[in-house]
Amino acid sequence: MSSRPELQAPPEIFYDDTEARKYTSSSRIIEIQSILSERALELLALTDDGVPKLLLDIGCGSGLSGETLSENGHHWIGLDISQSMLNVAVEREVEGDLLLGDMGQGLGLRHHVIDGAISISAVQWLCNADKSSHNPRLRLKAFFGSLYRCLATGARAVFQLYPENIHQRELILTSAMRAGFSGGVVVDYPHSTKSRKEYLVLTCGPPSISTSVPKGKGEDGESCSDDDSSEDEENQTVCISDRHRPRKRQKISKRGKGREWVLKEEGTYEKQRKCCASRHKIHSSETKAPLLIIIWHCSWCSHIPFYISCLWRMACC
Amino acid sequence: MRLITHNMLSSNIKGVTNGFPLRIEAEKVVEKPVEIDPKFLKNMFVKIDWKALVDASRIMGYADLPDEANPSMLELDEFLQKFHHALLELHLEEGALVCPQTDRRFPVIKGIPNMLLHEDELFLQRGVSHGGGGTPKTQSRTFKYLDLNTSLSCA
Repeated sequence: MSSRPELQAPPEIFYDDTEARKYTSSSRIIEIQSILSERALELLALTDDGVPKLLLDIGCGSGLSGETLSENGHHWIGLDISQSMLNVAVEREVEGDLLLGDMGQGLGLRHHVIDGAISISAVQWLCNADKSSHNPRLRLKAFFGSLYRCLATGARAVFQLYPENIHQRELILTSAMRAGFSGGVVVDYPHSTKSRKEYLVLTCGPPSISTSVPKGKGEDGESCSDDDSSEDEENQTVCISDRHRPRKRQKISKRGKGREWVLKEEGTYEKQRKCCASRHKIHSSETKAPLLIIIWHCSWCSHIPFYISCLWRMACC
Repeated sequence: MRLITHNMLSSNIKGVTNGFPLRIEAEKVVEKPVEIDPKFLKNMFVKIDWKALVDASRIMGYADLPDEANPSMLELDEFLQKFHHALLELHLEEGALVCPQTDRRFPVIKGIPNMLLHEDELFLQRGVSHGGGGTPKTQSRTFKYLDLNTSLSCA
């Protein structure tokens, strides 16, 4: 059952008042969010000197992930596009500062001031074009470019994301690399379908020892949490309901049926001996210039069908 | 919004070369006391634009910060206290942030600045979309079949 909020509506519309409240009152979502933020914070690999850092939470929503940051003593600035989510965050009296903004428009922050950035299940929203003026590539470019500028040298950014397919992952990764980040994807529990989690770990600056990507959890397949509770497993992703957006372009994926099928069809017609003056054409798209067979069943010639097979070159028509 | 965030924010409207600092229009300022953390303040001091912080705190009604500051002052408890108060305890609850170059107002409601830009203020223009090579291909294919059909019916 696929149920991706990204496919349902733009974030500022999807997370309306009811959805924002629902999101924040679900103990399951709270738990998942805090686990994800814990892990993201761990992957940030902040220097362990007891000095609180100034972090950025991109797509902070109602501040669930920010709470984890506060618990660890850090100060944070949260950015989200949904006013309703931020209202809930205000009600919950989160400690960080909140900004209403669109990450695809670029972050309006000063250069080299932020010690690290996390983002929980948010960056994949950038792959959608919700308005005619949206271009995912440009929005990703604006986002990663501005993030790179505002992070201090050597600082890390960790994004937990749910890419819809391999192309989205590639698009996000390439945009990050083009902005100058080094790093890669860390996959936790890669063998599990439900508890598999992807983190994009990026470091500001050229590749070095410190920029090496840490290992994912459960890569050996032993500590895979997939086994423990099957009912919980079902609920591992933070999604709500199913609503598909109609596909704009239908891909023609049907392969040509081949010569054998064509011949078989011919045989069937021969057996049936249809008397009506029907014309049946069979396309075979196996070759570039398709074989077009026209079968005429003629009523005057009483049950004697004759075949005209001719090769049509597509271009000459 | 605390002044620490104000000190980080700059306007990223298209064509703006220096969007920092955003001018504050304060309508409602609240103070929320928090525990002082000298380590964090020392870490932040190097990143803070002092002049912007002093100006902002004066607009918010707190004038105790000195005009100039240097790292040696961080050893003084009195200075730390003031710095802490201005940076982390003053909240701009209602008002606006104004871009210094274009005078565009970013309203602050319930402590949340609305930094959403209009489409004409975006840095990135609508570009030519890439990777859409699939569409014309399929279209041309359909046309060819259409041609076939028409030519057949004509014959």
